[in-house]
Amino acid sequence: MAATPARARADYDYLIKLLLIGDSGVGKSCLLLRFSDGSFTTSFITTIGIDFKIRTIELDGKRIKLQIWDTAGQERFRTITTAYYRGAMGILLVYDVTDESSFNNIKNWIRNIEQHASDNVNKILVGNKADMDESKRAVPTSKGQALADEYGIKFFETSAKTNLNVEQVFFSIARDIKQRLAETDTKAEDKTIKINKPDQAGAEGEASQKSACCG
Amino acid sequence: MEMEMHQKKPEKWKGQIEKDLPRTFPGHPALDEDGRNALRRVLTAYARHNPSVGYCQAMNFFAGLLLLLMPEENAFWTLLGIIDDYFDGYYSEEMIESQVDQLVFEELVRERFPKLVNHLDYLGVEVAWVSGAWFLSIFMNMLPWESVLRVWDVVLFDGNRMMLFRTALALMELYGPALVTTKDAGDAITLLQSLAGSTFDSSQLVLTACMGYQAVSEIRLQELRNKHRPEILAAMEERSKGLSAKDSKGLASKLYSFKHDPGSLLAETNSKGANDMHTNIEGYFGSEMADGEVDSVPDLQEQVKWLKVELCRLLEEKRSVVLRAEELETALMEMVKQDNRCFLSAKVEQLEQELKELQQVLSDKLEQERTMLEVLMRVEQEQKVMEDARLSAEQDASAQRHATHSLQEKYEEAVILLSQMEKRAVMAETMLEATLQYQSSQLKAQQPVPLSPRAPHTDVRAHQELSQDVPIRKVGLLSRPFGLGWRDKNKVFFHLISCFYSELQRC
Repeated sequence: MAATPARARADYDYLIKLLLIGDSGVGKSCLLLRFSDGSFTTSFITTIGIDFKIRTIELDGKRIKLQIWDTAGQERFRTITTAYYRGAMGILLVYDVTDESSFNNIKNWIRNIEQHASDNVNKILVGNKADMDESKRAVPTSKGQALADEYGIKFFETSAKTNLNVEQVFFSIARDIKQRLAETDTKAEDKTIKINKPDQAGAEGEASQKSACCG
Repeated sequence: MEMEMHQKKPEKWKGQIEKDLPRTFPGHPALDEDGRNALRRVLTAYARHNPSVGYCQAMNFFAGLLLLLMPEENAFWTLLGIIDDYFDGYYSEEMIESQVDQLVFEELVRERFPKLVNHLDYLGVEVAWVSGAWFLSIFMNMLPWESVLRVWDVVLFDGNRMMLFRTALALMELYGPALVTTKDAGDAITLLQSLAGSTFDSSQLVLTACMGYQAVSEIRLQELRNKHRPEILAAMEERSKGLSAKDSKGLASKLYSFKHDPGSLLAETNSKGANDMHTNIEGYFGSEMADGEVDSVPDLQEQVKWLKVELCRLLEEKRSVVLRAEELETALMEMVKQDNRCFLSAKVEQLEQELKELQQVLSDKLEQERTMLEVLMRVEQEQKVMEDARLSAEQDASAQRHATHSLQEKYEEAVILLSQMEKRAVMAETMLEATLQYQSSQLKAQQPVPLSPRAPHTDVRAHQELSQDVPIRKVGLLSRPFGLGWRDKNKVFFHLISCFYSELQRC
């Protein structure tokens, strides 16, 4: 375990695990494909169980490797997918702006997070399919913002199709998590050794960082 | 309430099915509007047939594949067989068997690939992160199509989930060496996914799976499932407890944990949690608690304790009720299945009826055949009789031919005799003529003196010799006129014989 960060140092400075949740058909897989591969397709297949993508981004001069888990939206898969909540550092709650029930269900998803994820997990609310015609919209932006405010989390309206705000969502949550991790690191530094300089960091410190990330 | 449930449930499937129709092999030419309608019908029919499963994502791919291969109704029955028999408990609301299988698979991987597992552990990767989707989708969209179909062949042939394990183990065997080189969890998962997705050598895959992992038998899998199932069930219970805890604002779960560990709860009660608890319980039990015993704190604590115990008991009861409800649901499911059996037995009856009719027809045919056979035999017998007759006729003919032959022989003998007699007759005639000539010359010589006495002497002797013959002839046949007549007579006789002969030949 201790050797992992040592090896990994060559590839990235931070490893961040994200999770996409939300009702079936809101466009989780499309968002992920847009972010990881930069592409969009209307001919998408149902996600079975859990899927996975990685992308390394650069933020404030740090290389951040994002491991993003995409989950099946159907309710019965929650038993399986909640097992992945524990390891997540950030969770993207996705709904479809043209589907009101997917928005109403966000409350249930939040409850799920409270039950199964670590307490300090970062959350972000995402209203997808914002490119759709206003006539089809069922959830006004204000309502989404209000819900996000209620939970004290950030909110974005996105479109995987037109690539609206997709980068922003992932970068935003990544930045917040990085900051949180850095804070934890600083706290840890007070007690033990300095780890904000990766090349000098001891294996011990790295391990503590990792365990903090993994929860 | 129940009506509402019944109306609500199919609605839920319907929504999910509608969402998944365009996400099932999108762009496939067979899944045009008609194809999607068929897919919708098959999935809805299954959901209604087995409401305990209803519709689960992944079934859309199964039904879609089956519809590409067979008519709609057959696709339905095949789907039913796969989900209800081979994957019983897999796609139901709790997906228990699916989770159990993942634990079983993990154990098998640990057993077979210790080095690989070592590395994965070190990276913090769980095999189920990848294999979970493999199993749930029966490798559809996870392997190239040809390989998927080969695996499906074996799954359908075996009639159980054994091939899923064998294939997954084969994939671990094929790609394990590459996985060992990865440096972090994300890379490992991505690599395994992409390698699996490019398993184009389906023969190698199926051969490795079927020949290399024969020890992974259904019996062994059942043993492992039985071993791991309690873990999953316990986790499920924990989860449902968590949910009910949420519903009762956390009180129940706290009390439940008290039951298991009274000490810790007491400590909690005594410290910061105490006030919370009291207010909560007061809320729960209303006026009864409110009756002012607030002054005597120990008494109150006693009562709180008692109430906690009471609550625990109630929770226990609730749990048993939940279990009972589950049992009832299972029983109901079984009844539904029996309903299906009724339908099947009706079908069986109908088939039996058809079978009876067919048997009747068959026996009729046999009867006909028997009579035909009899007729045939009679004809044969007649033929035999005729043959006998023909044979005897032939024998007759041959006897006649034989008789003819002997007659002909006799005739020939007679002809020979005749010719001999003719010769003799000719000779006799010649001699008669000579005698007559001699007699006439004697008569002439008696008138003149004979020239040599010696000669007459010998002549006499000859004459005497002759006269011994001649008189016989003279008497019998040889008077002169008679002699000629005899010749003629001879000719007539010959003619008669030849006529008779020709007559015979004609016969």
